[in-house]
Amino acid sequence: MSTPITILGGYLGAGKTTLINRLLAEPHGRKLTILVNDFGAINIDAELIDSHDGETMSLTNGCACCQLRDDMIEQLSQLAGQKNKPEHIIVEASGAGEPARLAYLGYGIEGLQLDSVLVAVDASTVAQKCSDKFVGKLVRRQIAQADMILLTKADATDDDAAKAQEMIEQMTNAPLLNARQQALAEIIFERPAKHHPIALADDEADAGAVFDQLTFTSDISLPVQAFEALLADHADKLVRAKGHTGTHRLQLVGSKYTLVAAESRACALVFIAIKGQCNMPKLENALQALTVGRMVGPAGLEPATKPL
Amino acid sequence: MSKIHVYTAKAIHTMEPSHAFGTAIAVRDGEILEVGTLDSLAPWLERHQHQIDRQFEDKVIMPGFIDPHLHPSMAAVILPMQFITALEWKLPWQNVPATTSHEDYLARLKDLTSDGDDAPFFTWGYHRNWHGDVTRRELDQICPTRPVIVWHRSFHEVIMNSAAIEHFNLNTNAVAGHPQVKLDDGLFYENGLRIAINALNPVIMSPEKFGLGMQRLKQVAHFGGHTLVGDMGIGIFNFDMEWQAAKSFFDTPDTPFRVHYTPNALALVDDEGFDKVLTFANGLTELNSDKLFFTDHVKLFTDGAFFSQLMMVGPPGYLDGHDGEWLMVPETFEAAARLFWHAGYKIHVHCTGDLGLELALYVLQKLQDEKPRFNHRFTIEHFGLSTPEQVERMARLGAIASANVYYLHELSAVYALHALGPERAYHMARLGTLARNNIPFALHSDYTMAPAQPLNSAWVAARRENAEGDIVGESELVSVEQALRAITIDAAYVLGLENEIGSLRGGKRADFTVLEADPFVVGAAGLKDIEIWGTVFAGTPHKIDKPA
Repeated sequence: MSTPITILGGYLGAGKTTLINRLLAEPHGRKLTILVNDFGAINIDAELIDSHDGETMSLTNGCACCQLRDDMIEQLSQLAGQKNKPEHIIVEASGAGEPARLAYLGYGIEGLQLDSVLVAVDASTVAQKCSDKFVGKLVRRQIAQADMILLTKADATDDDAAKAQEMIEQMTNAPLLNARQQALAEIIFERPAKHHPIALADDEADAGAVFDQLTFTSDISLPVQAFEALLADHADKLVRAKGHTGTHRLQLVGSKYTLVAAESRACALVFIAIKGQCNMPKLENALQALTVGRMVGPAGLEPATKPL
Repeated sequence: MSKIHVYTAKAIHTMEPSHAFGTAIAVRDGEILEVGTLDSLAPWLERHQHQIDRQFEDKVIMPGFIDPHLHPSMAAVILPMQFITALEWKLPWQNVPATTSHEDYLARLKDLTSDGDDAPFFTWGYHRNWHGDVTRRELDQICPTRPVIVWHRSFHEVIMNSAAIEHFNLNTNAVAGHPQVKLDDGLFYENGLRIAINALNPVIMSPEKFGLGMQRLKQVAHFGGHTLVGDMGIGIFNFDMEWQAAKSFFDTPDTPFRVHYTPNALALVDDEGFDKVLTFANGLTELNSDKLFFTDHVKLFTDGAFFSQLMMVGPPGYLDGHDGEWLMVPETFEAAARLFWHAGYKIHVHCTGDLGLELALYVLQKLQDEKPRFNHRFTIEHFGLSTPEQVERMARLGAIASANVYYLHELSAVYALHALGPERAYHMARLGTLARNNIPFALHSDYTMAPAQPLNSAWVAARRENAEGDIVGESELVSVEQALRAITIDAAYVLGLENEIGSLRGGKRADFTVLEADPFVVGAAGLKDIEIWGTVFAGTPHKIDKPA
């Protein structure tokens, strides 16, 4: 079983450390290991700390927090390989970095699987940061790369929060959550469907440099066998795919995929490939073709096989 | 007191405007007494025992060359590798010819790997613009059994053959599934490269390889005619390891140069912040020896690498719309710069793009408003892209520059087509504008980003000829004298050492570079081809052994 890894990005001062402090201390009952940029900023009640050796802080609740090392790959390999491995790994991205780049860590290391990219955004400064001469583009890219936006400091003023939300929604389709009003573990691990219809990972459309992306939605469920055949043809060209076929949930990471039966809902899928690796218009046509001739059946029932 | 030693020469260029020329130079105990003629030196020679040494009678003496910015530790990783490069590289142990096509690249690789050895073969210098796509399959055809690792000129990607992928245990599903690894092509880049480096580290950082690299760097520095080089950012891998290696390889009687060290604040910072780096930096002069020494300099960074197109470029940006990266984001840079500014340090800022320079100047203006400083030597390192207005601001704020002018030679043609368009690509390294604004500047190699050959850098500065043979950005040309100042007295100025080296004047150190031809006679076009006899370091001659 691969260990899921979540990347927590966001510009300097966006509130990442505060989120991590909460995540370590909240009573979620999960064994998390969090790799942080700035170990010194982690601030945990002394009675929660089991041991502390300068590089790793182990907590009585089973969580651990480590300084991110220069040899991050080696560090993550060790974590994923150890007997008593964490349930979930969270890596704090540098404020100067693009979380999508770090998300690649979810590939290439045996025993790890990318779960999601969360980006913290400070509601009170986002407008200023997004138009900053030096870092405006960087901050906008960070936001575009998120699977989910965690709005921090949103309780500053309601006005700020509303404005920030409006602005962010123009930059990304990723769901936006007010991190001040919700237990974080719930956001990261439960992921209520209404907040997380599709994970829009690695979206660098804005930067235009790295990925092609296809979003496909349909009221009609896709026939599983035909869809699987199509998927098998494309799997090695895709970096990531996620979503729901109408009857099954799809997870594709680095050419391997799982397709499991799930509660019925509308078909919504996202496919992501390295730029130029996969003919997206062709894939879209093929998906469209699967829906032709299928009628809309009531959700949860086997759709009729003949057109009306 | 020792005897006075007088060297005669065809010409001695002192780089001292008030006393520019001589034919004899008197030295004693590693110190210059006076430059003049045998006649004009009489007041010294009549009073003291002396000997006249005519071995340089037909040669030209210049102040010892200074490269204020190179990276011994990085070079020590690359130098043990075989160079196969698009441009010619002169190394002390061989002349590496230019290899400019796909076929020639593969032929050269086949030749070099067929030496009967079966140890992993590392080569550096591959570049797609010249060598096309070299793939795992092609490498396999050349080398079915010996591991081959092809390192890109920028150091940012590697290509391996099947034997290397097996040897370094990279043949796993996890590696194959990485989006920045194309295992079928043997290509590892960006984060994929980190995986490869992680596997290669035990070899490239082994004491044998790294030691060989340090030995070779020592040869390279002498070969270029240097009597002092600056390690502009010790701590790049690991401070203690690098300092130990420097002590063992450079702090020895046979080393004919000194090394000035500047700590890399970004590499040294940990979670306790820059305060700790300042405390650490304050204690570094205690490590000083005769040859290796720290003074009061610190290295900071704004934007990313020029060779990787990661410099931050202001409007209208890159041709393809991609963006560079910040090595230190504005808040962090400002906080670190403020700390060292108030502590009185000489701050060197790695700035490659014009937006990177903009950040450095924006912060320098704030710091000048807070605590005005004079003679602060805030130095723009690399100085890739800039605007004339920015250079004027540099002058007003007292900033100086240390330029990697070789960018212009190697990259201006390629960047004109593929990165920036001709106008900006041809005006990299605006040295003419610096000179017109009376801003002192040095030339550096950032070795191995450019050859550690000061005369080659001076040639680019005074000639602006790119790899295609075109002269570009002529308004930014500088005179031969200005270019030579940039590898002697002005390079000393950038390191705050102008009172002891950089020119030939009584009281300064007796460090010279001895040339077979006179650069002022040869002129701009011939600077790079001037043969270097060797150096005189602390009064003692050190001839360069030519490669066979």
